[in-house]
Amino acid sequence: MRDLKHLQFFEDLLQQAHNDLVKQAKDDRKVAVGYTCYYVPEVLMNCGDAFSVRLRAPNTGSLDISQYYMSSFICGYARALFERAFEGGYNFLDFYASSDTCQQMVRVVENIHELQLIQNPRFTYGIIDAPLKVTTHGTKFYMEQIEQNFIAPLKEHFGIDYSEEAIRAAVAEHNEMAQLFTETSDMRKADNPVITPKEYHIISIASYCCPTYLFLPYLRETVEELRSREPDAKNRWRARVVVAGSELDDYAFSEIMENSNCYVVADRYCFGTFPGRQVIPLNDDEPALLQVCRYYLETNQCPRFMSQEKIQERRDVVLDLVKEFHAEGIIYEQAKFCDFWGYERTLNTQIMQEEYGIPTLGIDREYVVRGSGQLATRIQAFVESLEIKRIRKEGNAV
Amino acid sequence: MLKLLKRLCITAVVLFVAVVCIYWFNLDMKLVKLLEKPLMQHYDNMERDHRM
Amino acid sequence: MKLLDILDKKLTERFDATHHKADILEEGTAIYKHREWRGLSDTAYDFGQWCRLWGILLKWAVPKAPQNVKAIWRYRWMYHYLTVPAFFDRLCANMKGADLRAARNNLNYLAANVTGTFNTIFDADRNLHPGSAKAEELNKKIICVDELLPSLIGKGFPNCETILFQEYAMYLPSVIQQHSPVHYINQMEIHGLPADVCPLPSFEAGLAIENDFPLIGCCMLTSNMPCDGSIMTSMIQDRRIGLPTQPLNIPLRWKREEVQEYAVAEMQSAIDFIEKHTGEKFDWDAFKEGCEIWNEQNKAKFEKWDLNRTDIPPHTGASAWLYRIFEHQAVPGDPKALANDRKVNKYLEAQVAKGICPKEIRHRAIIWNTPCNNYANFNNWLLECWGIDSVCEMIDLHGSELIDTSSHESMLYGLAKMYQTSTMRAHTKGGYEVMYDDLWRKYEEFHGDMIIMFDQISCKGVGAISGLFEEGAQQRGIKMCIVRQDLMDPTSISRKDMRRDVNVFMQNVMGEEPLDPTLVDFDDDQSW
Repeated sequence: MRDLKHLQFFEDLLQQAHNDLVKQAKDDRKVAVGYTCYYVPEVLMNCGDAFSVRLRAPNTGSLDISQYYMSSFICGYARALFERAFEGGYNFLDFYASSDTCQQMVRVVENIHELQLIQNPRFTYGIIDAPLKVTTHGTKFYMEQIEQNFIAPLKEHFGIDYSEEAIRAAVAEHNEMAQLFTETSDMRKADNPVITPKEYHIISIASYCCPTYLFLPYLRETVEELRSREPDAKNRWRARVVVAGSELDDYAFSEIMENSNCYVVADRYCFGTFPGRQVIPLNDDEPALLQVCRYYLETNQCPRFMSQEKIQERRDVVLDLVKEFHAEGIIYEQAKFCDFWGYERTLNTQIMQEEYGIPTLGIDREYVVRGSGQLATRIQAFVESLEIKRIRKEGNAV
Repeated sequence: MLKLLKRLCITAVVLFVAVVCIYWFNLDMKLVKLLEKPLMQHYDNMERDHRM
Repeated sequence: MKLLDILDKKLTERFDATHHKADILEEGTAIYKHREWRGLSDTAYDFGQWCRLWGILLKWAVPKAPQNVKAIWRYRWMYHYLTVPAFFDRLCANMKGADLRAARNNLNYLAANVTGTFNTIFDADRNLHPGSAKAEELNKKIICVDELLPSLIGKGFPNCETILFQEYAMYLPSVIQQHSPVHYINQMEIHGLPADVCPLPSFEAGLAIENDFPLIGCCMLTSNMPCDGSIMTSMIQDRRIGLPTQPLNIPLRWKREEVQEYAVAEMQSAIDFIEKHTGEKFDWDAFKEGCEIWNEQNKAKFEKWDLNRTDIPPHTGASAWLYRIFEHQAVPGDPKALANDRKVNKYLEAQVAKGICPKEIRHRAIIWNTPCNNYANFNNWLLECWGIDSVCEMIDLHGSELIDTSSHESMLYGLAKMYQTSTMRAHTKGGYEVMYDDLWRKYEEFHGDMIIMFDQISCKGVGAISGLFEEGAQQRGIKMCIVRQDLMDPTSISRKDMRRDVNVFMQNVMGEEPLDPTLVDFDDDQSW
């Protein structure tokens, strides 16, 4: 297929957290808000002059410093973030919006605070507490936490505009991006799609790591290109899978999938587009802030949610994606040492396989996926099993 | 009556000495230790409905 | 009395194992060849309390012998309760005077309460009485709560029993017998759970997989206590237990006033849920009475802490912290527990008033982070081998806010606060500064001269700030010994490994010789 014009640019943006678009926004005197988790409503970090940067630690090498401060059984993502902060990789941040929803991730900002790792005199941070079920009083609590720990300090220290108009404007901008992503994502439903898993993954991650207002023009052009892109003459994909799981910001994972000719039809993981790149509907009857908070709570797919409805919803969302995107199997991936996804992966791999009859693979992986031969082997074996199953099914049909 | 009292006293003394011996020589726990292997084998052999 | 003194002296010469304790431990199993000699008076007292313990056990076992035998036959974890006398011996090792009296009374109270609860559990257990109408009738008035949720809420339902669901199958066996979790953790790992997760939720999940929980109750309150792992294990247990379940969301940032409204709303929601499933109405008067008793229990604890701040701390170690955990979780508001507290405090106050210290103390240690269940008597070893007295332990310091019983709202507020500052929660949540700052404060308050910091290797929440503690101790010039442990999995870090960490520290950093050289390195891998 013809190369996408901006793909290399997007890939370059992913080589460091303080990338060219972030630098440009900082030069425009915008306020950089770092965050890591869906519990932090991304759209609210893009109000007024604020722009959100979902934090990654690209090109992570050794984690010696973080191993000393954080022990070696801590999730690689948390350790990599800490290591990068120690190296000065996040000195551009003005605000770190964190949530006490993952005991490992929240310790990153606490370590940063105690060790004063962000060399930025304006730097400050906020940590919200958040509910693990969706109730009316929980939504109120969530909203109040966001108001008190994000909105208030951003207003006070940086003069960010959180008026009704400003929030609605941020939602409108997000929704434009979401519509473009939905259109792109739908292209993955085709038998021989015009976008590869790696390309989609790169574009998706870049959208999280760059200021939306600067990213949008490139996204618009990319989608325009995709609309008229011709697929490869031969459909090389041997299997179609939904990938679900924990934080995954290394597009080398999708590269490994591609190398096995396995097509990722839908990305239901943190830093993926389900959820995160859907339109946020707003009515005119309620305050935008309340609607946004409720939306993020209701669409959150974190395994931390304990209520029976949410536990089942997580399975239903994946099942719906399998159906909608014509997938043959599911891969549950888990970052090593992630307690939440350790259990979720273990349980759902079994349930999807045994109760819903969907071939499912459960894997755990390091934060940096690149060069993982073991992962490639497991994916390869899974693809072969899916292929064999399809061939048998087609044989029976004849 | 005196005979009964005498017998009761002797019994009480014997019981007391026995209990002191059990306590002192830790005979109660040594007996429990003997039960461990057969009981663990029983638990291992039990039919179980293993599932998540 | 002179005769008794002569007898005491002779017997002490013959049987006293102070400074050579390993000589009376069997190789490998560490079962006592004979029980400890503590001097005539203390040994006689210990004997009396041992008799009292057996009285408690027989009082439970005999009247319902067929049911109890059935329970032991059915549940692997029940075997470990047969070793309770040995467990109590280990927790009372080397104790004399008020410490011994406090320990034995605390532990015997636990035994009486636990055996009473066994009757409630096994009478209603659907596994032991399948299809029994009588058991079902009993279950209608049993409220199950996650074992890390204090049962104080149950005081508002006086016609019901509130049972800490995992306490009896999981938590208590894990302290009684170090190998009790291993089989269940293996089950979970066989089913694919990574080995790095904390053994506590792993043990619970393994019990669920094996169907080894008693099946009791009409409803279940689960929770996010104390941590992420516990949130997730609830998912696996729910599938097996099959009760109507409501998760109780206890806020983590408990120091903030702004989270209290939500915390109180969650308490009310829990009450509504229990009312719905039991058909009972919440009794505010009974609840108030329970809160007031709990406040008195707390005050009794404060007195103990005050006494431990003196030069002759009378009562330290696992018999103190384990009792505190149990009191806080299982029996808050119990008048019998309060009566025990007052009795014990009398012993302690009397000893301190007399200026007596039967212990050989070289160091006053602050013990920080969660202790190791599979080495509950680690405190005893520290004291016997190296003269390190555990004058203050983090695990002991929870739930210490008194409840204002002047109104329904204030009681709910107090209950919510109690839950937020519960076992393994008070310090590991609320922000890192809670655990960090309080360590240095307690070091000063309790006149510590060293810190023993547990490095619970699978505890992610504390592991992620472990470096801050090391640096903090260095900056303050405080000697800190880091002891690695894995909470309740002896196969990853053994008791011997833990002792080695201390031995290396004491020999190389403190430059000291042990009080009891036979305890420096001995084999207890097969012990309970």
